[in-house]
Amino acid sequence: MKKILIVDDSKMARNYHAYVLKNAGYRVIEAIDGADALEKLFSNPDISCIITDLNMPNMDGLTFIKKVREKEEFKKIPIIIVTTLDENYDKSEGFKAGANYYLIKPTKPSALISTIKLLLKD
Amino acid sequence: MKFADDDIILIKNILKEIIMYIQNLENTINQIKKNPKNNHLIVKIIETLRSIIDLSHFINLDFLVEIIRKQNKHLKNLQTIDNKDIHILEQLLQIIKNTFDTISNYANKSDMSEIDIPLEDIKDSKEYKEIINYLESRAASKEKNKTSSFSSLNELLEEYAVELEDNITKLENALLDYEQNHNSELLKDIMRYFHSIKGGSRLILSFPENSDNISLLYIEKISHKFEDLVQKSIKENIDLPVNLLFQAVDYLKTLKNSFLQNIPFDKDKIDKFLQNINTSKIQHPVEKIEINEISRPTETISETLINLISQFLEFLNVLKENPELKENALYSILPIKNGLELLKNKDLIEILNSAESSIKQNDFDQAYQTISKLYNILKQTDKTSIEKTDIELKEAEKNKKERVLETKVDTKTKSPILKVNRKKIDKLINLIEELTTVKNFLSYILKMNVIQDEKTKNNVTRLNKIISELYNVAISIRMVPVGDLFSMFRRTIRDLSIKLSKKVNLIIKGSEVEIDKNIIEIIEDPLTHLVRNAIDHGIEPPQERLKLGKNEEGEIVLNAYYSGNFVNIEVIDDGKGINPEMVRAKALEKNLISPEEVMNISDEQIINYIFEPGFSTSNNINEISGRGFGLDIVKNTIEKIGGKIYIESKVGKGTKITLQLPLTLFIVRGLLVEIENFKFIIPMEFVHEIFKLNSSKIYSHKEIYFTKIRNKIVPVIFGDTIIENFEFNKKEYLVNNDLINLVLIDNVEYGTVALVVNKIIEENEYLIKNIPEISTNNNLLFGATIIEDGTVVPILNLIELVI
Ligand SMILES: [Mg+2]
Repeated sequence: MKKILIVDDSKMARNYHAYVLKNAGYRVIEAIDGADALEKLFSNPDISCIITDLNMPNMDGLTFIKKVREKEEFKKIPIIIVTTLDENYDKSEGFKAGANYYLIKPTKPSALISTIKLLLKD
Repeated sequence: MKFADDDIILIKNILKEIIMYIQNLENTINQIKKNPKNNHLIVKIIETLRSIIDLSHFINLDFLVEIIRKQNKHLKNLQTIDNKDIHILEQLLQIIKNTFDTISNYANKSDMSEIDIPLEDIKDSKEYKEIINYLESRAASKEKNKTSSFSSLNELLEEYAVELEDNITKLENALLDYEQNHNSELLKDIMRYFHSIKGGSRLILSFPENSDNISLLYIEKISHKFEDLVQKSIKENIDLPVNLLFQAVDYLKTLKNSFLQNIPFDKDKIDKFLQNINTSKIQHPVEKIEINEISRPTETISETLINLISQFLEFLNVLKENPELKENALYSILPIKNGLELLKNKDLIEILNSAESSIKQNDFDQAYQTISKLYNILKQTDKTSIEKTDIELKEAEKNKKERVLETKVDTKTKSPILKVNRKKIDKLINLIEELTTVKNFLSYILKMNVIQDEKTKNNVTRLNKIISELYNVAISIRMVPVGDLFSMFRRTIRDLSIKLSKKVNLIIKGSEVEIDKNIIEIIEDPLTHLVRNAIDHGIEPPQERLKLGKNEEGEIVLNAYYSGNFVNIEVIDDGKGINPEMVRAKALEKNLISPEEVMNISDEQIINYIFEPGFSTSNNINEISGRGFGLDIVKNTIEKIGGKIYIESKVGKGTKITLQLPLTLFIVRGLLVEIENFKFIIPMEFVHEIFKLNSSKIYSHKEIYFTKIRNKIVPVIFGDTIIENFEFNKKEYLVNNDLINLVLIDNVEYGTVALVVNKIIEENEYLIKNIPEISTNNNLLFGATIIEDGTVVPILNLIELVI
């Protein structure tokens, strides 16, 4: 049973993603912003994948991803950005920060699950 | 761990008692080994463990309480016990024994409270962890089979509503802050709030059930446009058009209400408003999500694979400029490889491998070309073959799932503040309030000593205690900080001072003071009225203030603080104050006071006349504070909920109005009846039935009255049972009245009892208040309420009814 970290400041978005993932048989840990996510990640070293929002208070998604990648032990953990489609959002920023892939909100459950499955080789 | 001195006194007693329970547990476990299907034995174990929990709880053995609770939760769901369960039980027994043995080794030492008793070793032991892991995994697999709490679109909608409201409030506050202080952090916040509103709306819109909801579409439109507008301001470093943004907030509020309450809104007005906003006109198509797709997403491996490859091409473009991302690029290849392996296409895997080695050799251009080739091949591959693969994958998936048996519990995010849907809270509290009536019943039973069995008695006592605690917690859920209400006035004051060309500074104190949500709702209008009044009639225009030697900027203070069982809320302004002579003249003119009285009444007292009905109705009506909502209604509203209103004012210095409010509101559904000339409310939970009966059907025998209802003898009681020192002639009453109104009351001791009432007025919801003049030591009183006509009416507590 793999653990997935969901980072989003919207409770509705968290619940929605968590529900989809749990139904597909994953364990889910939720974090409300980047800072919270770092804490959760450090106390749950067995997290196998991170799904993060970008627009969040306290610590935004890009900063969070950079901080994760700074740590040697989290260099390999797959990170997917989940964000609302925006003309203002430059996708290259996500890759530069250290994300592997991104999904567009509202996330299609099928796309979310299939992506995770390929990422985790499930 | 160390024990507190208080615990040590308990420990010796507990050690004595625990021996028996441990012995019991051991015996029962041995019995159940031979009889794994004996449900009675499982129940016995649960009960014994529960007693051990109780004792452990007394001395804060939390680790033991935790593990036994988990064990009990597990046992409750079992029909038969298997070997693994017995093994776990035996290990648990050992842990309990070890714990109390360890404690008893130290129990006779005089300096026990100084000693660190090595109980942590038990908690950290392999056995302890093994049990916890086993129980948790069992609990989780059970949890998995239950439907999750998020079960319908409705739940998602409820969350959306809570979040929308929250975001709009935060947005408005951030704008008000920004207006005073052009801070770039605030700009980011403002942008984020629009962004969040947009994102949430899109999720809701993506369900076909809502995709054409016009309010939602406009919420999305406004938030999208304004997010871009703020973004533009940040990029071009220009000030925000604040007024435009306030208008947007107002429209969002309107649309929110229109969405939640399904009321129409002026679409043309918003269209016109939006025309002036020149930001992106790109509409983003929202992909449809079927609600059942959420729980059963279709696998779209090939589609996803194509998407991942196209994203990987984007990644490679970034990589060309940022070679330090190479390591991560190699990780990003893995899911593509996984996908190709599932497709079992060796040629494609070869292509990917060659791209991988290009990356390793830093030849990113070559890698890009190779991956492009891969992308094109996949795109052109016969669709049907891919779909076929998808089906095969699904089959394989199914088999795999069946092999996975264990699941684990999910960790919930713990944020200090929990936003909960209000309806849910209200429902919870209602249920708990119902529970408290059960609790009253239980207290009564306990008092009557009808329970013989010690164990049942203990459990009833326990239940009683838990209900009390639950009730207190429930009430505390309803308590919210008054600060949210206060900060709402920032906008009111801003708009109003602009309109009246006044300068006003709002000072908020005591935001953290908590008060019942229901009270907050009730006082919102009165408080708005007082604040508007303060600006309109209190604070002078800036030039006048300067002339008077005052600060150009007027000040309004909203202050909240606890005072005994009340919360006081003050509205203070430093304006011109209320002139007592003007109030005297007006009160006289309106015939609210007699000429003699007006001479004798003090200045402090006379200003209270502004709260009299009819005082402010004539020449004072204006757009700002008229609104048909006079100060008399403010006073009335406050008094209706058991509060009081006070006023102090000094000419030239300002006015302070204090609302003294109860902390909570209690509401009971009841039947308003009249017995002789007294009115009473009988809570509906006691009312079994309402009955009309011919007086000839009421019989008496030696001053005892009874009737027959559906062949059952029912005692008939009169007002004198309820009203103390009240005599009246029952015989005469029965002779004078042909038709008798009876309220059938459920009573613990007597079963059904019929209470004779003169009149049944109505069934309604009544606010329970602590009215000092009526709270006597009468057992039959629940409290009292004030009904529409102002009469104080007692609410009866018929649990203690004695005939
Ligand atoms: Mg967000």
